[in-house]
Amino acid sequence: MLSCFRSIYNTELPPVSAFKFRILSMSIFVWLICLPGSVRAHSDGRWEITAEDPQSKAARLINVTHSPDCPGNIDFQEMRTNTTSLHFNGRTSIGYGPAGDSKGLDVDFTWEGFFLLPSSTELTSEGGVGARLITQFADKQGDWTRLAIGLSEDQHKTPKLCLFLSGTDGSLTGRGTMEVTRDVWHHFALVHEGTASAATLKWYLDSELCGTVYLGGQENPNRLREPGSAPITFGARMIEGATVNRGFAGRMDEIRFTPQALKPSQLMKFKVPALTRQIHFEFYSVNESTFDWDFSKVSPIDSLAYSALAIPGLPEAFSPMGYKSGWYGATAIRGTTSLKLPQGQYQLLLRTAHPSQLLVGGKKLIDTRKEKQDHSGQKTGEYIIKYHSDGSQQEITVQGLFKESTGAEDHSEFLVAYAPADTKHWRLVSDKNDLELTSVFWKQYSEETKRYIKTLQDERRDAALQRGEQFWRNRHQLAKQIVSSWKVDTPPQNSHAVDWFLLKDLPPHSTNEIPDAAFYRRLSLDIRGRIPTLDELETFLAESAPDKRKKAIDCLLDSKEWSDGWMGYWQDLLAENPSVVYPTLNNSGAFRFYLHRSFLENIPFDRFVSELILMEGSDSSGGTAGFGIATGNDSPPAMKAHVLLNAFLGVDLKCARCHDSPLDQYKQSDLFMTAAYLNDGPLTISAKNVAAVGTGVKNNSIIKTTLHSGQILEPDWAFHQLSGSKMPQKEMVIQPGRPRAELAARITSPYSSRFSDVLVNRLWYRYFGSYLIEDLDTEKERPDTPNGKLLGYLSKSFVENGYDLKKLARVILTSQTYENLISAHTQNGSADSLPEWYPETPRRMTAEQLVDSLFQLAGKDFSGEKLGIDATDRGVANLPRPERAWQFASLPNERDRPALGMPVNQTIVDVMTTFGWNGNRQAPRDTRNIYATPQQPLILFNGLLSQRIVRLSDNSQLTELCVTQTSLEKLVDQIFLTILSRRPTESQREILVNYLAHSFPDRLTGKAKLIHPPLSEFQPDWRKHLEAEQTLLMMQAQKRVDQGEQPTQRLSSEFRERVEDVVWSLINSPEFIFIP
Amino acid sequence: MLSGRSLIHPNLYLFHEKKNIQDMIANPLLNKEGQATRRAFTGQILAGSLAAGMLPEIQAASDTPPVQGKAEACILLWMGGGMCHLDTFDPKQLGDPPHNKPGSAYPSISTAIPGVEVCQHLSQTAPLFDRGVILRSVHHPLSVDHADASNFVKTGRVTDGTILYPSLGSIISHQLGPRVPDIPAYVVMGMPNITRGPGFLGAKYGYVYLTDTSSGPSGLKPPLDVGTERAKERARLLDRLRNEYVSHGSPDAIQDYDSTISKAYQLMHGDFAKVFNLEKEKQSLREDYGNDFGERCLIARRLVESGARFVEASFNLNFVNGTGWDTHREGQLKQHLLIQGLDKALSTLIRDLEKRKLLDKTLVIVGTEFGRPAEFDNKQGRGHQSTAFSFAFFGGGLRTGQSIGVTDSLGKKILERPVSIPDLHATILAALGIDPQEELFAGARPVPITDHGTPVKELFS
Repeated sequence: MLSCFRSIYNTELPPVSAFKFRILSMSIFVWLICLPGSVRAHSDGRWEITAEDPQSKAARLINVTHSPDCPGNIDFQEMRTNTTSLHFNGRTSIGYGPAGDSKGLDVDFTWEGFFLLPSSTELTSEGGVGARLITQFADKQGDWTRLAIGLSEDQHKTPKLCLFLSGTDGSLTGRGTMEVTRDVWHHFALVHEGTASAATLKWYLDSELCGTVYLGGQENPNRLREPGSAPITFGARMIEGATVNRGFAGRMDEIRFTPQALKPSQLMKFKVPALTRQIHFEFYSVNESTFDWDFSKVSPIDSLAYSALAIPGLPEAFSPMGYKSGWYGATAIRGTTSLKLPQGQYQLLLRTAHPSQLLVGGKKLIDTRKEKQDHSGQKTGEYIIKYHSDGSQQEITVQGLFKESTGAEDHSEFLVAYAPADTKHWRLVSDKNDLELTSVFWKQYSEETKRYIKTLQDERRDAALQRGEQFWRNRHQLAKQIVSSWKVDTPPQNSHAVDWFLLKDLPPHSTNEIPDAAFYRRLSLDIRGRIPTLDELETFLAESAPDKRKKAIDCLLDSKEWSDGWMGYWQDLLAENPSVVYPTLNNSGAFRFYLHRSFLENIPFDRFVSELILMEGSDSSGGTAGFGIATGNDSPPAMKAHVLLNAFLGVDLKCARCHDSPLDQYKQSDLFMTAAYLNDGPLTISAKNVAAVGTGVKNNSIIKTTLHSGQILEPDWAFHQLSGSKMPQKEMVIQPGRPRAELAARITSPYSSRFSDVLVNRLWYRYFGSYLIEDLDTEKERPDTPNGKLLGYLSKSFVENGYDLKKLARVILTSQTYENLISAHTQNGSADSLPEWYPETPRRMTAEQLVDSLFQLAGKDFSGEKLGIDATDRGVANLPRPERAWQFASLPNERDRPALGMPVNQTIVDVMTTFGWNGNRQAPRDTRNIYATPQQPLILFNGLLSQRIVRLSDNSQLTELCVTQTSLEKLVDQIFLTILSRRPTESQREILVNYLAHSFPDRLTGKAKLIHPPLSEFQPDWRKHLEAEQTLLMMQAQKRVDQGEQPTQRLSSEFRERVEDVVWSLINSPEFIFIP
Repeated sequence: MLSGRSLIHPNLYLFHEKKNIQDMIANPLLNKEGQATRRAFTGQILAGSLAAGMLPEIQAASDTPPVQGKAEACILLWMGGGMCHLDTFDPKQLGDPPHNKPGSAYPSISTAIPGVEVCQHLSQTAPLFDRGVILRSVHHPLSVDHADASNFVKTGRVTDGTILYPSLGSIISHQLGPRVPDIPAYVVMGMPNITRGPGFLGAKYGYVYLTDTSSGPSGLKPPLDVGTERAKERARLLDRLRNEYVSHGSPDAIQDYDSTISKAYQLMHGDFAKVFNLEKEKQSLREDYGNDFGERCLIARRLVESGARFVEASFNLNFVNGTGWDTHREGQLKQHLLIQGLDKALSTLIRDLEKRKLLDKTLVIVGTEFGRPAEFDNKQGRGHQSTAFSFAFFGGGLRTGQSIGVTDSLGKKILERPVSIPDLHATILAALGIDPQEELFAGARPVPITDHGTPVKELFS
């Protein structure tokens, strides 16, 4: 099979220039080919579009060739004669007419297939989808692209999979976030679920969800209709037999249509290529500072087989319970094979970014540890030596010490290759030595290898998850039994619990009907952390079903952004504080990755908390060990105990950190005994942990310490009154006998309602801006108030539902109380007669919501810098380019060095900071105090970020509205809907129409759309940041950022400026930042 | 330790190092008996209280009447990176970098204070020291990391993960408020970061920052493409929306935010925005200040003149030598250009303030996170040293013309009159008339305004 693999890369794929030539030579033949023979119906209801008759015009024109390299799940050995991949040249199209018995596409369906985008294909970001993979549903008139999935570039020239949908009125583009790698096969899928009146469209890249679009409503112009006479086409779009527009240039294979909405697990899978994998790498977890490179003294934690003496980055690691804990960090790696080269002179190449050695026949030929490092500790990465082969077989070993990988991904290469002396014909060292080392091959090899490793890992993970599931199922069962004794009032059947408890006793007129649009804006902000898009909102408004609000709630709860919506809150509460420069000042690891994934997968909350407390896996690339880090802190365990007790039991031990609390009953030892659990054993008190005795507030001392330096504290539980005195039994401890696991069981114990009470209260706070019970301590006797009873009821059902956060959120969000209550305070002057839990004040958007909403309304990306300075070996976080506001961290400014600046990120972080966000989370925060300061309106008036939002450039969706909308009234309405999620009042519409009317008729200049380069290409680099040139580059970048994106030339400048003024006034209205 | 595999994580080394550093606080200064503690130990944070404990000769604060200065404003010139005291305000025997002979890198010259010398590259400032004070015995225990040390010098506390401490600028704005309404109390010329932040005092006491002196803080001026007329149109549109959304019956939160919109207009069109227009300044004066850092000093004067309370101007000439004041290795080679740049701007600022009768009410501070040792590294540069380094004060109504504290022959050990960071804070607060015994509140928790520092009382008459 290896030979087959080789042929793909060495023979079949021609050099780029020849490939281009072939495409160009064919581009004049452009035809619609409807191929009756190409559709095969399977007994299970699938159709496949497969082979073309090589003799037909079609085949000749589109150059069908056999492609055994397509990595799909059809075994190409069996199907060799039938399986082909289609070559598209950008203007080619093949069409598929609907089968006679098609029920139309008013039903569930899935389109999927494999595609390969060659390096030679140029993409644009124009019009959403540059290159179409499939273009579907030309309607009866045949001149409208209804739905396309394809590729376009983002501002950084990274290809991404996009969805494009256009109806008779307006259009919609959704771009995925995952990168499409050129020259390797990818899988795409488009899944439609529902009917024409209410449906979701999801698109996937390699079985991972890229995005979701919601369709629905009889009035919705975007709803899908039955296909008309025109066929579904692949490649370019087609009108009346001629292709128009740029289509896909590349290859496709195994296209499949299934009349069902498939789940990701049901989509076609990548086939692991049948490469021989005979070269084993062993992975050792070692202490990187004391490891002496004697591999005989350590035993491997893992062993994986590869096809060559080459690994493309470290494999992912998983916690024993099956959650990703990052990458193998601080790992010694050793791979061995035999090297047999014909007699002669050669060169050997070792490519590595880590301290490494290469041994042949037991002799050390390369030892990069001895190589010179530059002042930042970086190594050059390529080591070449001469090698003489006497023709005999020699053992060849490569070994390296990979430090904790700090980025989300480590793409660094670790490989050994050889070439005849004085040539550059490098081949990887493998069992047949036949893998040529070219960049295309390496990309392919990396992808394939990672995919193979991932498959292996997925199996392991599934098994681990399965083990975990069992434990948690049992535990939830036990918890359910335990809480059955909690006495709570139960609302009658058919009543909504929240409303039954709360609304029945409210004075009349204290609730108000909230309009649909305002409801949807609130819901979207609360769940997804951003305002709705125009399309989402119009779809929702057009929907007539009586239960549409409930449907919308379910839809949004299911969206991926549910977890984005939660991030800032938990980052604050858990003091997530990664450093991009150098961990100091109480920095933690970047455990944000863990948080995000937990919410995404809606992990039961007791499990989430337990995993956090176990602090496993990588401490910098996503494991919960990152939670355990507190650099520069005199007692990380005490700091983390403080965080946990506050977050999950609602106990504030701020004072007890340094001395016994003068405000309540807590002693310093209470905190440090809890810290001992986190220490997984006895904790010794140091002098630094104990404040001097006799100190105090002003002149006298109410401050006492009862701990002394040198004292040893065993793990012990001091909070019986909160979590119940009963230690949860062994079956409820995830790792019995382990102190951390015991702490987890204590905190999440169902023997008391405290844990679930706190969670219910926190959730309530998120959605109402006030706690259901203001002080759980003083009200722990559960007063006989409606809110006290409701808390009891919700708390119990939270446990009964297996600690499902989403279910709890759903109960709250589907209530009349949520729908109607909050807006009431804007109308009700007197709050005297209202209960104390009634939300007093309207909520403002959080900083993250504000920034995400601003970019949402402009339809622009942040396009900021990667949150990293490419420093290695410093324990720093190299975080990816942020795409949502929560992904920012404090910028690397502590040193005041301009060349570490991030000009674009700075404009965003400035706004966030002004509105109450803080990237340096040295201490946990329950709530953010938002003072209104003049800097807030000021930065929204004139700041660089709002200039970008307001600017009608060609990457603004508002520009698109202005160009395509032909009715001024409608345009004004759409701008209002986009920004304030409502239509203007009569008088507002009149003012704006008047303001724009004069310049509206002549607004279109007929000029072309501009392609926007990235706002800044500057990226700070630790190695170079002290060079004067870097400072200059940063200053140049700053200038470009100051100028912002160029305005569109498609609109007259008079009209454009006036629309910008309108947009400006809308985002600056106080209405924008208050949640309705 | 706490993190899973943390024994092998670099973070943790740092953590261990920090522990050791803190152990080292029990440093040579603490006399053998260690009983430096007639003075009441009032520290909640150990580092601070031990640091305070290094001052055996200071009486308990409560024994002395409080000192109260009369300064109204403060300008902090921040020499980030660790300005070498030996090459600026505390010169010693001349060293010889190529031969690794420890000492100062440059000869020294006399100043207006009899018997007190400074580096020869401070020739314009030297004669002005009758208006100044040199503090040569500042010290703290954190010499490894710039961010750690800067944070400690600015906030006076080590981080403990329970509360976020405010910086000096925020404390002063909190205590004294703006001097003139509509002029922000606290302005930073430099990059925004946590060491300058308001901590638990909240965003209200944060700073307005700028990095570009010509355009001022981001957001202060309308974008270039928005002219006066367009700005008016915008304001008209916005006012219509505001009026329809906000009424007298609106909740306070909405009315509060709406009223800040009016304040924002005032900031844009009032005196604050004019500060950044240097056109009216005499060309000769602008030349005297010099470029870049000089311009920041000029803006600092203009800010104070129009009513700012606390202005920090960060030294931004890093590109001159590649490293700024963090003169490791080759960074040392062109350090004299940094010193000359500082000298030019600083001396002009002092004279300019004096001419405008502002010097007595304005405390000018030259500060840094730590100093540097007398020894040279293998490229003739210097490492970090926090056991002894210098600050300089000018004006502010202090008893000037004196030098406080003495270090040993290589500027390594403090021989007389140590000044801890809490003491430094107490001195600065006292100079501005703030009681260093004051308490702040982080929620319900009382937090002493300094970590039990005592003002350097020699500076108060």
